[in-house]
Amino acid sequence: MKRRVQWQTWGVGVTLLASASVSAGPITFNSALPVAKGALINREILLIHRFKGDVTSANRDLEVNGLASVLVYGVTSKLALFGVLPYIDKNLDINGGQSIARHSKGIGDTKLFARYTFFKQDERGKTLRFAAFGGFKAPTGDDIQTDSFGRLPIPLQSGSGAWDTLGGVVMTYQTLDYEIDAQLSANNKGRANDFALGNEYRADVSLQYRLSPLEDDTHSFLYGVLEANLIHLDRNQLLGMDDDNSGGTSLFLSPGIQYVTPKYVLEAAVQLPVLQNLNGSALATDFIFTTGFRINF
Amino acid sequence: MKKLNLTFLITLFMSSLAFSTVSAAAETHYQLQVDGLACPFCEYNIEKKVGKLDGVLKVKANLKEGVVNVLVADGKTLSEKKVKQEITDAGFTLRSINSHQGKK
Repeated sequence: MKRRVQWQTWGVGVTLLASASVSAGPITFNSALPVAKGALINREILLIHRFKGDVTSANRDLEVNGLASVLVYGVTSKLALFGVLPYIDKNLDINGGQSIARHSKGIGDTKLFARYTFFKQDERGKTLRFAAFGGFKAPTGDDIQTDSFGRLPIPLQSGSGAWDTLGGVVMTYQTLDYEIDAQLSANNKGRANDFALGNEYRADVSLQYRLSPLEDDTHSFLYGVLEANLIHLDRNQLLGMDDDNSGGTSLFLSPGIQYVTPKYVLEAAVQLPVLQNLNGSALATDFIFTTGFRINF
Repeated sequence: MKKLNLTFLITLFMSSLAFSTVSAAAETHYQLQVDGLACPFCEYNIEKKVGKLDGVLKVKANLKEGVVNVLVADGKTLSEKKVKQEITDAGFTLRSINSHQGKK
């Protein structure tokens, strides 16, 4: 029972840590904006994920905090390579009957993917882009951490031990006044230790609206941001059997703010659940706070 | 003697004024119309790309107007082919390029 709950929550936390928009653009997912040939961009993300109170007698309390470093390199103006390396800290307290605390921290699994822009249409002060991306997640995180109760269940480990594949398409329409991004993506989770997290399917959309005035000498924008993330997770599998207390569908709305200059971006957003149709007794999200910066080298 | 000195000083002043005008006029100002520029992050990339071209003294993008102003040193010219390639590499589209002599 404990493991089933943890499997659900692990998936959400890692998914959000792996979001990798590196140009100015969405905060919680990708962008189709160009990365110049030979350019290097670094994004650092701090993520705080809190869960709602447990309705079961286990009275579980889970916190997931993470830092993610994202590096992107423009091979050409159309092809960019992304690398995402997270550091994850997980705390689970079970207060039903006896109190149990389980904890893990460490480097997580590394995500590597490529994005190719297959369509662009530029006009004065605006651009429309479509890109496809695909890659994999390598099991670089530790998946054999133990505590006084023995080996931690896989969802509480820093790494999954499995290889995943991912892919999707992303659209960006950007003008001087606003930007709209939309993304469809799928993440096929691998199997390790007789366990597989449920596959993930996402539809994301983002609106960034410029709040600051535009003058001839304007070199920085302040955007108000509103994003929506529709996320479906299949049920996890243990020994080839579905776990009925995992998976489900969630819809998040994310208000945020973004300050964009030529060399760096500062940003913050909070993801609030609007709908959480989760299977069984999975813990629901209370909120996810994301903040960080991007540097254009 | 005083009159001679005054004449010399006036001549010197006029000469330096004339020289500085010629010097400024020798620099070439290019104005590039670039499509797709819509945020400050893009501005930096295009300034960095164009700025590394031979002879370029100064590059400044104007997001509102969608133009990139480039000042090129005396005796140097900006190759349209090279400019177009750099702008394409930055991820944008060069619509037109205009030039005129003289510092702006």
